Amino acid sequence: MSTEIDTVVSKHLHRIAPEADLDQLNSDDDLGTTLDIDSMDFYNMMVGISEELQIDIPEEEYGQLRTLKSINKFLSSQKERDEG
Amino acid sequence: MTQITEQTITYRQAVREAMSEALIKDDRVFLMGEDVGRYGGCFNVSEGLLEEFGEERIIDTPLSESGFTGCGIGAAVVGMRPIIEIMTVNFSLLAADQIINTAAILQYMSGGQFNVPVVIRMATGGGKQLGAQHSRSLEGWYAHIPGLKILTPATIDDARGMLWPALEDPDPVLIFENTTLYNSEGILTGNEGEVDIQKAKVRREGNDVSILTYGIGLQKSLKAAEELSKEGIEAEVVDLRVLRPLDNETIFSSVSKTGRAVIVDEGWKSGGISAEISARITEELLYYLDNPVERICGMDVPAPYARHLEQASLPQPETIVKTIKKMGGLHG
Amino acid sequence: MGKFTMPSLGSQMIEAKLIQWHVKPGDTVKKGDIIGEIDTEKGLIDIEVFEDGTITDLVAKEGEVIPVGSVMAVIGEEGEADKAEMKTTEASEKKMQKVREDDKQKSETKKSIAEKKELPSQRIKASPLARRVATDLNIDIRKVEGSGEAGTIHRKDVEEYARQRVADETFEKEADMAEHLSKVEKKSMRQSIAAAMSKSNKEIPHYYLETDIDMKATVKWLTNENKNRSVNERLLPPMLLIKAVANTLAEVPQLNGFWTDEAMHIEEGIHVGFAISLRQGGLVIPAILNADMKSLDEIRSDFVDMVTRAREGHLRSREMSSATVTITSLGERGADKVYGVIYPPQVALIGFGKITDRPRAVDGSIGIRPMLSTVLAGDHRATDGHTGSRFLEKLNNQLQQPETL
Repeated sequence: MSTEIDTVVSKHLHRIAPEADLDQLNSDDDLGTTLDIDSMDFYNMMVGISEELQIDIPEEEYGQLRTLKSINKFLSSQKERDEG
Repeated sequence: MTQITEQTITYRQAVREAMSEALIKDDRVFLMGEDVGRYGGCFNVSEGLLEEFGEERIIDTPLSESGFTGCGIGAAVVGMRPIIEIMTVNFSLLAADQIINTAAILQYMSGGQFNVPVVIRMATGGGKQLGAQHSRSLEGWYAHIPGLKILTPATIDDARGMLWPALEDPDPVLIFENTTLYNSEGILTGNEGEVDIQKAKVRREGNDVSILTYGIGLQKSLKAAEELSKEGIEAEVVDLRVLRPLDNETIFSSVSKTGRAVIVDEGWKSGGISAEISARITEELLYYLDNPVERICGMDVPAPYARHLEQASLPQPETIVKTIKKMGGLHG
Repeated sequence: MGKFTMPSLGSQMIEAKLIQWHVKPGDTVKKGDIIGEIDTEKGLIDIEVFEDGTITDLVAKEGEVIPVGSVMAVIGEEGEADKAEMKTTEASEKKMQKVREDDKQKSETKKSIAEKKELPSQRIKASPLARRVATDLNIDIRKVEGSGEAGTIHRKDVEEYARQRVADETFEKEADMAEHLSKVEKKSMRQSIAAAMSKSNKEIPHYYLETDIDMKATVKWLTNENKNRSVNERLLPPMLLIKAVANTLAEVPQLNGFWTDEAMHIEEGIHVGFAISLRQGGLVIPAILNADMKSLDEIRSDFVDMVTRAREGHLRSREMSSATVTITSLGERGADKVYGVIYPPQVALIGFGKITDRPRAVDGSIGIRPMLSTVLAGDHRATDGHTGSRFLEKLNNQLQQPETL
């Protein structure tokens, strides 16, 4: 369910940027510039999400996953593919 | 003691020289036994002695162990220092009454009036396909008898040096010579000076496990220790040398250091000297033991004749290695 | 108006268990209504009221064993309070208390008997020596993992546990120290950074050399390499930069070390410090030790581990003080170039900016390449521009052949 993905993503995002107000975040906001997240943070977040949801994130996709929208879209489609 | 220069000799030669020296030094000493004179000894140990010392000092006896042993005991009681040679420990059973019921207790039963300064040398051990009646190792069995001293020289130096203090001892001393050792060669260092007949000796130092052994077991244990060393296990090998009285001090000192004890004894496992040593270790050193005491002994069977079966029934270096490697808590 | 008591349903009956109520306070009941079930020796029996009224109070609780004659419920006219009845209710309440306490005691005694019967069923298998050593070292032998047969604990297991405990304690002490330090630093971090900066500026004559490094080869290699890696093994640019710098310092060691006592002391170990900013503000500079001798994968895992711990405040003090040279990378923050300030007693600082696409002359024509602005800050007492240039040149070479990193 997409809500599971939402929960996991929020959880790891919060872990990286605990002081950030996630409610204020728009799904199109670039997380790096909006929340001041650098490449290491992204990396940690992606690894956490990938491991928890058991979804691998290939190199081609990695660079595109900068907004909540793109992250959610990618993860949902991967999950459907796995379950399909 | 006379000066002895370093030389390589056989165990057999060492014993011969020991007897030679004793015969020279002390007129009371004489050798008696089956085939010791004209034949030169069943195992060739006394070769040449008859020619050197004459019929009165080197005596060929009739085929009667009980007879000549009793005779020797009698001679000792009246002041001689006989070396009685019983061909093998197997035949000593025929003289058991003399040894156990007379020699061992005469001093006690006579209220100290008589002592028996007799030395009885016997060949012992198996492994030569001589069959069940001729392959026993009974030194541990004799070590059960109060009143006797039991010696088991395993090295050239001990074979050369233990006889004299045994002869000087006012009480019966039994010396067991493993037949397989007769041909073994080694350096007579002479550095030992006065060889004692009371203490065990550490032949190889190590920190991981104590191998306690005597006689032919020494060679096998040293070989096993070498193998184990390749795998990072350092075994300490203790040559017991004296089975009665056992040298508790050396035994305990070694086992308390290593925390592990393995006893290698060619005698049968059940009720043997290995059990006695194991019991003493547990009584004294329970809280120093990292593992139960292991015993590698002759199997509880009459000696097989077939070579492969006989070898399988005796302790071998491989068995020692295997047993030790299985002991828990070794870092190796 | 009345109290409903436990009925006696046989001359032998002394008590019964209330299984359940069929009414609750406020319910209106009529004579003959069944208000509950009790469990007697004779089985389950329905209990009925003998008057009309309203249930005002259910005294007895479901599951309770109630003696015959004890009040189980109070039935009144709606709203009517009966003081006299209350007194009696209190008395029976006390009786109920005692019953409850007796029951409790009974079950407790049963429990302790059961416990006593359960004699030590769990014997720890440990050699006598192991036990003695554990006692000597004040270790609970139950906590030790045994390496012997059937999990038997031997001496070396106890000793290993002791060693580990010391290591853990040391680690905890260090971690506490690091945390303490980082806490202290958060407060005075700005001050200490400021102090270091001014000291550096005052004492160290800086020279700056800058160059742009063509990162096309590196970026391409990185992209390809990451295709074959799962996301948690990804290589990021900083990891490559650390390795490249370390390798270069192996060839130009004059920049790797400390200026102390009026002289340059070149260090053998190349420990690359990396400036990590903290979300709460502030900077920490932990070092990756012996970076030149580590593989990219080792640097990767060290780096990830360090950044994570830096941000969680769990750096170890020795990690904070070992750097022989420092890299600072503000590229992602948007700065193109970084003119850094050297951290004394180090003699060099390498600042990396952002990788941006810029036009460049390549093979006679103009191409767009990803360029990385690199600025070397050097201590003029220790090295001069010549050494610095050599360093930058070699660094560039390293990054042109990323596969050799």
